[in-house]
Amino acid sequence: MNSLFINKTYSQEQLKGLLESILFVTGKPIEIEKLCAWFDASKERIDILIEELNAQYQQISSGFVIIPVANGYQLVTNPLYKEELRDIFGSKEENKLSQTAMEILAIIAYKQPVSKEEIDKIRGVNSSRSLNTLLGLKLIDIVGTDKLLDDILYGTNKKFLEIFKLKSLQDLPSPESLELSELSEIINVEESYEDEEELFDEK
Amino acid sequence: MIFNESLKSYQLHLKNFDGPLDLLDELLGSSKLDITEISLSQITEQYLSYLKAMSEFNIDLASEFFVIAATLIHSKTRRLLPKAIDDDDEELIDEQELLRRLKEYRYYKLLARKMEESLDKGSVYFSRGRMLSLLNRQEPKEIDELTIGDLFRVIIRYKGAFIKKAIPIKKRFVSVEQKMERLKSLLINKSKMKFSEIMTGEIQKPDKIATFLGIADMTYHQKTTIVQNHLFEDFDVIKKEDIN
Repeated sequence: MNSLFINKTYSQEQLKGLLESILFVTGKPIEIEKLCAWFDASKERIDILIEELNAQYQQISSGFVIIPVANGYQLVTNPLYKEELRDIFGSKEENKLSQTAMEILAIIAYKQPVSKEEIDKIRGVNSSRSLNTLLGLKLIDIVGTDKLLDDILYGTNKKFLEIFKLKSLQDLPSPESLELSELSEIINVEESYEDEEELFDEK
Repeated sequence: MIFNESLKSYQLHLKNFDGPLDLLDELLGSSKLDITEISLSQITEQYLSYLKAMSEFNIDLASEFFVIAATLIHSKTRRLLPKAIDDDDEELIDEQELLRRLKEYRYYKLLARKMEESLDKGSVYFSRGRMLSLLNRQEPKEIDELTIGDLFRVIIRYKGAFIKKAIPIKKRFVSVEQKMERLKSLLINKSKMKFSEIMTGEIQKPDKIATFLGIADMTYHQKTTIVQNHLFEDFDVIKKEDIN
């Protein structure tokens, strides 16, 4: 990818304006690598531009804020106006998933890549229907096959991060955030969680 | 039994459980997950009366519910029976396996709840052009955005399209009268015709059948006679005087 401005020089303010307009047009999260390439700048430099933009937004109670999502940045509305926007454009209720779907999604998110058989075993019940729903919503994807068992393996994808407004999988609510009383119940599964941490670290 | 006591049990009945572990989890409530003899007996009773209630309401229960029921009963009976010494280990594995699964399930259930909270948190942000339901909207994808999952779903959706469908049959109406008219016109200048000759013009089955029926009808009404020398052979259709 080429830098956008080989023969041009921009002031700091113009760079911010450019970044802002790119984020505006895209609407979706833009990967940080893309921004770095377009601006021919380091990740830190982009971060500073974003920080400054956000500071300006905050100062004027702007309708915008730039948030880190899915390994990139996204221009979204200021939470300050969330109630009003909900009233006008509909509530978050529409984005609700069923308990079943949510459970499956949690298993996939924390344990990925994971096969349907493993999910079924954890939940003690067949999960095909909700699994298909999640595939349909494009929150998960087939990420590979188990070499030994030849099972299809599922994982979360970019849209999952986007919807949950997560910067990366590491930003998933950490199991440590489970309340203490809850935690005492699950000491035995701690071990399996440690494996997952390694998995996340690799990425 | 706690289960029969009050409203609480009734609410339990109405809830649609998300699998046997979900039900067990609910039955155990906030209690610590150590199954003592008393709690095992209680839980087994509660679990079974739940299954019974469900079947009374004609709610379909997944077979998985019964597997857990069997495990519970199995553990309970083992407790009731005098212990054989070398039996101990096996019993422990059975229960511990169930407990381990329950704990694991509870773990993910809690995480699911946490994720839901973060979904709520995320919903304070609205992004451009997608303030309407993010989940329910179908957006056309760019080719490089397509995933194997998309292909998978499309194949499932259109699987039926590759099955050979029966060719629709067009209804054709061929009347016997029509065929009789034709036969009469064929026989105007002849006194007799072979059946095979008459049939040469009739290619479609319904035409052949109608023609045959026409000949039979005319013969019945004494307008033609038929003569066949041997069984299953061609036959002659002979015109009578008063064919009209």
